[in-house]
Amino acid sequence: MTRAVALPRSLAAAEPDAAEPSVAARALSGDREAWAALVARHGHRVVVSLLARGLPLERARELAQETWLRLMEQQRLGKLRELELPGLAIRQASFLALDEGRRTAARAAHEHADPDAHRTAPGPTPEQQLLGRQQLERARVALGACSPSAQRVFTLVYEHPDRPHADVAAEVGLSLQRVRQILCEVRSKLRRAIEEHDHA
Amino acid sequence: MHEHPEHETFERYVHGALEPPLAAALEAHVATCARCAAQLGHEARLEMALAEVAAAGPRRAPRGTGRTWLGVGLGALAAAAAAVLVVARSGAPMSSEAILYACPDDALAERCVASARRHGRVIEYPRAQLVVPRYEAMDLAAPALDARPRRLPATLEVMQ
Repeated sequence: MTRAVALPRSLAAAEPDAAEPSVAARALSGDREAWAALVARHGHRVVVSLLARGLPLERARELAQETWLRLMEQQRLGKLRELELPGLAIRQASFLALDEGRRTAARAAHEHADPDAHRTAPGPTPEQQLLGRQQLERARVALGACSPSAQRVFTLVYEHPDRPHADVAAEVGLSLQRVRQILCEVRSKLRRAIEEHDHA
Repeated sequence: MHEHPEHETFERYVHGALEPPLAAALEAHVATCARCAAQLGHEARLEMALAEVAAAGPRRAPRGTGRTWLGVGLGALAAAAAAVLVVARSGAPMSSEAILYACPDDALAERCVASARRHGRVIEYPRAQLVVPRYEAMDLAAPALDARPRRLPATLEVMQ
């Protein structure tokens, strides 16, 4: 069952970084408006994390909504001590996606009377995990080969994906156009590093 | 949107930087185009990987080899060994619902989920508790009912 929760597509209404701790604190105290602000700020990231797991867009949105509802329920029951977002929401979404995969596999096993089918792990295999780590390390080396200013721009943008690029440009003292150019160049390099294995 | 979107459009979408009308058009397109739906998933995986790189920070290339395969492999093996997950114990009694598996870090999250699922448990991260869906813990042995995790377990029990 999926209940409706507002998940604004645009992050334009996101609040500035400085407000995040107080918004999180308010959300932990049960403030619905604070929860809405956090969903607006981080909702897209959660959907993207589910897309990355191979879910179709519509299903990713539904599971993202379920994710936020579960976190709100956890808060209501007093089980959330801190609200580290978007990481916590992404992990909860990951659990839901894994569970859905397991149930799908179990259903298929039942329908096809295959006693071993339910043992299929819905998550990545150890080989896939190892490959993922190798990709990460290659990308980190590629990032290390970029100029310090390029590294800074990339880190600022990706650690705060909801932050306007204009803010990042102002912080690093570059034009918006230059920041976007740097970002494009760094992404391209890291993308090549990550996909190296696929083309080898 | 009748034509397949450009690569850059997918990239901007997953990064949350695509203007809302264009984002809506892309979403409508991927709902009916399997090829672009797959492309969106691929871009989403890359986006998550880039965020992970940003969080991990840059690394200098090792001298000589230019590669870190051995180090990466050993690191992964160590992580995999650690991921044969653990339950830390202390004496505080808790309700059956509150029997938790300690998951030491995000990198091991999926192993944690798999282990917890086998045993029907809830997972606790260092700063929060997440629900593993379809949790059932009614068939636990009595000693397990007193188990609870520590953040960095001093006494570990390897799960079968």
